[in-house]
Amino acid sequence: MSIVKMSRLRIIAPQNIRRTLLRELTRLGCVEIGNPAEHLLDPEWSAIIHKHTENAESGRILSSLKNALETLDKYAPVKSSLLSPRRQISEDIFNDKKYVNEASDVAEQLNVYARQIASTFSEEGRLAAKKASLIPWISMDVPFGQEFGTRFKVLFGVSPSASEPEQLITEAEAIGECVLQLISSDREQHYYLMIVHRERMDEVMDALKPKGFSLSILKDVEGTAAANIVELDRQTQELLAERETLIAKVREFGGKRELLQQIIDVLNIESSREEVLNNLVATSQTIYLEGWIPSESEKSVAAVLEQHGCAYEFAEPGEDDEPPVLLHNSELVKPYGMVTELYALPTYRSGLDPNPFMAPFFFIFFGLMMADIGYGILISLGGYYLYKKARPQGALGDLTKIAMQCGISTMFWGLMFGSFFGNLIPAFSEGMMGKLIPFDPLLFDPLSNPMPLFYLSLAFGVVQIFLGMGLNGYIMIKRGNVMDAVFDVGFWFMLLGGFGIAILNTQVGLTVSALGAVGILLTGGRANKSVVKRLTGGLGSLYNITGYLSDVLSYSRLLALSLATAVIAQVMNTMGTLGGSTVFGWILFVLIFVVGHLFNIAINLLGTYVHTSRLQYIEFFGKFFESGGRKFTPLYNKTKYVEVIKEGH
Amino acid sequence: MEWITSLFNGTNLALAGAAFAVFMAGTGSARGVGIAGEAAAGVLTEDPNKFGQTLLLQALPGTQGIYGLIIGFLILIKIGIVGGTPVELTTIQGFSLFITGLPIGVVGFTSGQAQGRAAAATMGIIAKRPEELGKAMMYPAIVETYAVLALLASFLMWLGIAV
Repeated sequence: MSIVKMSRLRIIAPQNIRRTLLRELTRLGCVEIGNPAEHLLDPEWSAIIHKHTENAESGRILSSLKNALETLDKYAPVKSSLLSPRRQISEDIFNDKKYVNEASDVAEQLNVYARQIASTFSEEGRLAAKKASLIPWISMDVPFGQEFGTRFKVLFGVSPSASEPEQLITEAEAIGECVLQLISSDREQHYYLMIVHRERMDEVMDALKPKGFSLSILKDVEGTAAANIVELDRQTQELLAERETLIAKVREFGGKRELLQQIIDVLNIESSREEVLNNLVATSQTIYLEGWIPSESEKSVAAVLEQHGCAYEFAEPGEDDEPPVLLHNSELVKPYGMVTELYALPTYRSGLDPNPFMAPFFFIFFGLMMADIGYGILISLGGYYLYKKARPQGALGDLTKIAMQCGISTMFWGLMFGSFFGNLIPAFSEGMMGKLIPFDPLLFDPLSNPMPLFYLSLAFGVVQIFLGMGLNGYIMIKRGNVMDAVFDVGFWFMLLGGFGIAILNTQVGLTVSALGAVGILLTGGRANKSVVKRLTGGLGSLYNITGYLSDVLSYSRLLALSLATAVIAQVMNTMGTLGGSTVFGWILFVLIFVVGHLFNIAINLLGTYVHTSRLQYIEFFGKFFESGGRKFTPLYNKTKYVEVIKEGH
Repeated sequence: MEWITSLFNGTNLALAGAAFAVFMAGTGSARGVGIAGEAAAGVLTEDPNKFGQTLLLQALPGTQGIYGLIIGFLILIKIGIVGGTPVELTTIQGFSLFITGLPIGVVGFTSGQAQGRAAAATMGIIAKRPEELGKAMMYPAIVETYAVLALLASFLMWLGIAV
């Protein structure tokens, strides 16, 4: 229930065991390695050490494996749902080196196929371009690339579509000993066959060039256009068949997907370790690591270090150190850490983990805003189903646990306010059965009687805000600033709490409030030197009372969002029972019941989550939270595709 | 002048209030969701995997329209147009119900668009740092506070009007 105490860890280890050592530390999963390379800036250090460089061989194999997996996913896709959990495998299999070789062989083969497939695509493009250039000549039976005697030349030419072929033809024939024939036209050009006497060549070209005529040279083409196109089509067909064969070969490796995934996980870990090694500093014989561990793990880490003959030391965090933050909480509170992390982590120095204080409010507020027995059951079951089916990790896993818990709170408040899918029971019995069955709330119905819920909401607000101020005082006292706690928290407690007492006893309450106000007025500006500035400062901080007022009123959203859920549910039920007890009416009812309530749950889950979080972030955390902690990120076996089951479990 | 009195009878005024709440808040949301959607589409062209996250942000300015619908519907229930027999309203009652529609109608219209712009701006966060979705959601959510308060005001008015 707190921020875990951290110890600084320093290790000097023999060079030759560095990989083994790092593997063992990763397995423990509780060691964060820092960046000792910064010591190189210190001349005393840099005189004896140098930056260690590790050859990153796993990185190379890793990218080959990733490419192979991509090829496999592209040509032999498997249907995967978001819900499918990661495959579980034992630690022995996970660490078995023989699979690495097998996987890299498979990957190499797959990458060869991928390259060959890619070259069929580029070859296909080349053939298609060639075919396109021949298409205009398809009706011409004169073959390309052939000499016709010594006196005449056979040439091919084009002119832009804007030019007029008849004009060109007449022009050419006017010169004599030249025949120009239009073969075809498309949107861009006209295509011609030209037979011309060698000696007339220059003359003809001089006449035609100004009209846009130019010679077209078709390289590497022999025979007629039609014959060439047939040949190109045949080659394309062959190419397609070849590609199919290659893809079929890739498909044969479909069974190796899991192997590839597993080894990608293995090598990812390996390469992240190599990255760590690359940041270390070393002498010729030893290597130096430093980082953080939770103080409670000192023993298990020491055991590993002893075993490998390392020199090591654990130390308390120094004055200038900023240790990473790890929060430790009970299983019930733990998932809510995700909500806090989305905001920020508390600093290590504040020594206060907000989660145990925040979690109950999140739980209550969430339920209060949804407040429906039916919805609560669905939210809890939905969370449970996701948790069991997909075994999600990280934030998503936490969300499923929060859903399971908050569903219970939703059911509770639904029972209090008499809501089961809104007013389903009365609406259904009246509309479809003709006889009203009431469903009474245990507490009250906010739709007809909202004021009690309004007061309840504000009361929750007062409690949470006071708790936040109290925690702020706690942090101050822990730091030894007792007077600050009295001035900045105690007086406010008096001022605000006095109003509460005033309900029971007006005179006592108002006196307490007045004393608090005077206290704030006198001490609020104590940071300043001059008396005038102190007083104006005090006035300024007294003005903060409007802030507290709006903070408390902000909790009225609990009522408003609770109403939103209930009213939309009621709207759905009203519409659903409009058809009465007829065939059409029943179809309408089922349809609107399912779609309508699912819509209501979805839209209100979003609203409820956002507004519950907001109350924590702004109204609660704003009172005491010191953000800016750095998350503790130990070396651990982080996997994407497989879940490694440790022995002894 | 006969037609004025018959046109502005209680029921018509109440209907106008319901209509005002629904269409003003609905327009605000429609615009807001539209603004956010344009930005979301931009993010998606770079990375189609962010569909879920951007959709979530786009949905945020959609609530004003729902709040408007809630008040509109409550007014319709109260005057018996939906799920009951129509009630004869005096002009005063009708006018009161019309005013009931104003807070959520006006604030829904303005806050829906403002929230849409805030949501559009936070799409940039999703584009660059998708892991910060939780923080990104808070900026548009804070705009929504005022729509929630307006809903509350409209609801309390609705509750207090006897017909």
